[in-house]
Amino acid sequence: MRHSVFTLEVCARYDGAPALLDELRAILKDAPERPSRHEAWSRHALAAEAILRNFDCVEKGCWEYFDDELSAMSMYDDWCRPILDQVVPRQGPSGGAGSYRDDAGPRYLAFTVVYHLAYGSPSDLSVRESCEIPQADLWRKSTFRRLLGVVRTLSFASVKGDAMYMTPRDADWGLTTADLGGETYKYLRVLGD
Amino acid sequence: LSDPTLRRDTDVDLPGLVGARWWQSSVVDPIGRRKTLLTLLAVGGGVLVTGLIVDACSPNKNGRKATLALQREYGWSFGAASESVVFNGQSTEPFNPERLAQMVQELAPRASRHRPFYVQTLFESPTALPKTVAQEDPSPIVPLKSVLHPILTDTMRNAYRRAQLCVESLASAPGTALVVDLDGQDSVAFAAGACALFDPIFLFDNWPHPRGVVPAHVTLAAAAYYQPLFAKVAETSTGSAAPAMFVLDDQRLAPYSDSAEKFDNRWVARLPSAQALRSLGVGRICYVAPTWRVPLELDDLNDDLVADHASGISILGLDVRSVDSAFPNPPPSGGAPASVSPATPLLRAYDPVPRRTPFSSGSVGGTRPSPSDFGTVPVILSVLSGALLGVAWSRSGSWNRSSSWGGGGG
Repeated sequence: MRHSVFTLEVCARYDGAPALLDELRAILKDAPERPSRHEAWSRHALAAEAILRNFDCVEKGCWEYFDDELSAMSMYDDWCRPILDQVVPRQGPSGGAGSYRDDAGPRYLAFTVVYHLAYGSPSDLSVRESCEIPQADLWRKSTFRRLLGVVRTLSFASVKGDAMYMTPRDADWGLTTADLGGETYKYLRVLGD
Repeated sequence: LSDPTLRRDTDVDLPGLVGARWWQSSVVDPIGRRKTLLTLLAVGGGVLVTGLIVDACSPNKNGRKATLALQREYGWSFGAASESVVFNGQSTEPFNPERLAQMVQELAPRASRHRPFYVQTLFESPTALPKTVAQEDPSPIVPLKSVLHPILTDTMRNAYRRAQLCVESLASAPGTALVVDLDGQDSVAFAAGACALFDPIFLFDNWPHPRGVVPAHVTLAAAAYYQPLFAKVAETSTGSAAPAMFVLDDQRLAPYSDSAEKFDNRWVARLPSAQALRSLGVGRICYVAPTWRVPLELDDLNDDLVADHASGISILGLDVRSVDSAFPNPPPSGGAPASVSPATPLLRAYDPVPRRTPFSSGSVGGTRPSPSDFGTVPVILSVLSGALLGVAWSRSGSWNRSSSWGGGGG
């Protein structure tokens, strides 16, 4: 079977939307080990809706779609690697709630979804169509809203694999402006209106 | 629709990262296997098929994982289950191994206001049990408590004695907090000698390992030796007014190159912020070092001390060896200090200067950086399932999460 891979990552400032981190964390923590297709769809739809409700807080993002087999598999592995390798971007808390050392400035979360799709399936076709975006619009907020909307339409009958992860889990481990300015997150682009 | 059809094959639940991946064995195939094969042949799929076969013959890949998370999951000696740790200077005094189960509680700060800053990681290790067995590391992991022996070395005796000599002098200035940053076992001994007047807040944030870069087992063995003393002082101490004494291991940033023989169990100190220190009533920090040097503090404390100093907290340095000359006429062993006033000045003012290192930003108010692979170990993973197979005791693979998490857009 040929596959395609679709990934979407958004970076949101959560000190302005404190419920967002809690809501996304709950979606991740409540996810069953063996979900039905409907439960899987529901989890992704809830996450997409939570982000769309708080989209004013989304400042950066990245998305990719690959439909040639070798690139797709490679990219799927690459995007899943943070959870496979449990590589935590920060080595310690960044502060918050006054408990530990806190550096001034906003705190961000990065939320990522990855899909391994059956090529040519309705879900794949829907994603592919949505990803046909003019170069000038690649990094616009409207594009990311549209792609989050697509997440809510996916049929998990044709999703071979999916991954969902977020950094941080705990509010006092948020990403700082300095974190986002470093090498680790250089692929994230500032989204324009 | 309600039948479970997806299966989670990996998940992570850490303060800095939470998530999971799921697979399902069958999906709707809109093209069909026959059409796929024909398509592959039509577009030169011979090369692709060959590539897939080669990949299938090498079903493993290399990656890195956080050291502590690995140990919590697979056991303290993960990757070296047949090896153990060596305890030089074993104590011959009576020892009840069952008491190790109370280590986390008995070494906790006495004052409730200090407890949020307590890092109990090291003291959890003796009784922790592995949750999972790695496929290529099937040897049973022996619980650490069954190999742990308390130690009492000459350097520990010295550190304990010096702490007893100078503790009254140190505590005589209101608002003084200690940061004890000696070799782990000596820091524990110094803390034991000073715990009557200061409240120890241990910050040891790693586990021992037979091939550990940081000899955390020695620190743990020292803590086991003094555990009854700390517990006794906690029981008999009245009130909770004792000032804070943060206890560190100055081996935590020990030099390490990604050696095939070493397990990177290094860690960084987590001191309270300047604001939090002020709320604890701290007006000056006395940094206890093994010797006088400039810079005085380890790299991971530079940003903290610079910020503390900038906020008005004075920083003083104590060369622990100078205690001997400051108190030339110590009382007989076991006796109380002869005088609270040292014969020579005990403390020296220290002005921390921002410096740029792998563990410090080099600016006032900067965020402490950390090397990308710090506190991680190379591992072998299954390409097919993502399951962890074992430790890769050699460096291989060039993937590095810190250099790139992904690519460009569509």
